[in-house]
Amino acid sequence: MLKIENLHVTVDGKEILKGLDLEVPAGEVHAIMGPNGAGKSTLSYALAGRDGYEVTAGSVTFRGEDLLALEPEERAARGLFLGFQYPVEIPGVATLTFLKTALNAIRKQRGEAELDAMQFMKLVRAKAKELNISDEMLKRPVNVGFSGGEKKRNEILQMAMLDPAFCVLDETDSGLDIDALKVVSDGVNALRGPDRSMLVITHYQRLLDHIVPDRVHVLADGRIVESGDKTLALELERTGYAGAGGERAA
Amino acid sequence: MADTVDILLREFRAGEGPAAAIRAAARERFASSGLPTPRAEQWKFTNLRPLDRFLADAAPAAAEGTADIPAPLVEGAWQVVLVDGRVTTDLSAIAEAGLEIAPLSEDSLVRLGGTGNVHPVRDLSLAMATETLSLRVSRGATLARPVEILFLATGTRPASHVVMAIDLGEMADATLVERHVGPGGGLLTVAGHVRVGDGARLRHIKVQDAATEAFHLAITNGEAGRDAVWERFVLSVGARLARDEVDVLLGATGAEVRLLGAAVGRGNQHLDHTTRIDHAVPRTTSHEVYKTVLDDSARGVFQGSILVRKDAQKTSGHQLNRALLLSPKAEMDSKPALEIFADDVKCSHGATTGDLDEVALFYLRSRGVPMAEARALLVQAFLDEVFDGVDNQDLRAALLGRVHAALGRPGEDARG
Repeated sequence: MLKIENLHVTVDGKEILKGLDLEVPAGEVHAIMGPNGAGKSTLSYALAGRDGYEVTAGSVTFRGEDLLALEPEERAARGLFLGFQYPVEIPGVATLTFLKTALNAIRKQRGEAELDAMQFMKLVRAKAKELNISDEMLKRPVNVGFSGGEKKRNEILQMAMLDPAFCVLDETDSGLDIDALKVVSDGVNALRGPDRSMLVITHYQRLLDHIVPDRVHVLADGRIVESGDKTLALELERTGYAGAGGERAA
Repeated sequence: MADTVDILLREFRAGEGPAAAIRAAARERFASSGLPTPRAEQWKFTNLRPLDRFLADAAPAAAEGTADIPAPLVEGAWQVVLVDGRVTTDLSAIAEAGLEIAPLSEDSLVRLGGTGNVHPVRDLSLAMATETLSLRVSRGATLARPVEILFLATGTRPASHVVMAIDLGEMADATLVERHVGPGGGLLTVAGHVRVGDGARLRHIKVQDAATEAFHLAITNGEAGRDAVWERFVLSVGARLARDEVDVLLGATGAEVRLLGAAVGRGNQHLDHTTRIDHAVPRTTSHEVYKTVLDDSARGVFQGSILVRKDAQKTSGHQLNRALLLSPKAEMDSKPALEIFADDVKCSHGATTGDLDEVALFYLRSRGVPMAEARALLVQAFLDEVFDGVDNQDLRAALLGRVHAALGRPGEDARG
């Protein structure tokens, strides 16, 4: 579904990704682990198309299409979703307005009919309930005054509403206590399916107890240095990142 | 600017009666001082020079200007229509107990001529008034319907001048919509006087949506009585150059003024909001929020001065002015000025100018919202706080709709 080849990305003139290769087939969940500064967030932003993340070499093919040639909103319409590590606060825009604008923008780009207010409310209520998100929270401005857990649940709600084919979850576990982690993980697991792939980016193994990956990759210094099955995450938890890609993977 | 002044005063008729002296005096003052130039501190950021060329070229405009009269912004409102600065509505048809709309009486004009500071726009309006209008709400009356004063410019004359007085008696309650529309360019000056009597409440909504070739200069002197509340909201989206100036005297205990403003400028529009609030006695309140959005090469100005006199203890005065620049060529000048001579007061002011939040923009786009829509949503969010001051939900929706249209791409005819 997603194929990254020899990806080089520069931020502020500094090369962060230095020839990253990765392939995620349909229906699989892959995890990317790595130390701080390895380039984990750079990868997620480059995939989503954020300004300032300059691709200097390499390619990303998403469902057979050149992803890098698309604007961020086009990538979203094609089915790419990025769950932000730090969800953005937007004062003055109610969460409901945000969700409805996003959903209908995507439906429009896909050539589907926009939802009217009633259809939308029915859908959002059903999805919000599963994530334990109250009506009151939906009326508040996007992420303003939300706790860490509320922000991440809001990300998963957006994911559930927009029904993407490929989800990049950037440090979705950061800032969550164990209860919130469980709610968020259950939300993510509910979205797993044969037609949907996920790339779960995390610093800690903890998240992968809840969202069990098909493959685990280690990102260090801008490259994937080691890949394996879910046991690799446990091994990394024990040995740390220092050895990754060294004696084991060389 | 001598030529401009000559052109502006060309059709001066002194007339007879006591008001004639007031008008003649205003004419004299204007003739000698002329239009203000940026050398005057209060006009440093707004240069009226473009008027020069405009008036010199003002070949008699289309003699047969026409334009449809739009329905009132609030359904069911009384509507007073001024076409090119002259009332065309049969005022006697407006029949509501406690409401009286009529031309200004000689006495009123004489009285108004003597109040307020000398101001070039007031002088010009007084001297050259094409129309005078008085709106009175009698003591204790609560108007069942809002009143809309519609200024429709069709372009039949290069300049129109209106003197307008709004007077709410003790404990009266009214909503006034002042609305400027129409395809006509040209200059409109409005000298307004607002008096809100003791315990009275006036909601005053001004919508300046003139044609983009128009010049709009307005000065409103306001006075709020004991425990009176004057809520004023102004939306400025039209005109080539517009200045909306408000000068408020809080001269009785408990008097309160709320000034809210939203401006959206694009192309080469110049939108100026200038306010002056005089806290003259103890326990008065002012609250000001002005927000400006500028695209293309538009320029915005905000000047807000708050004076708290020595005896005006327990004054509460808060002012916020924020600007959002959507283009590198857009420019905002902001000049807050607080002069506080009393020591037991709560006063604050804040002024910021910034660009759209790039991170929020990316967040929206990453959720599939196209650039233009994402920008419009963030701009609306920026202005939201000001529109919260418009209680009437239908009116609020209509005004927000207008803002949305104004934020369409440059060159598009966004007028709706």
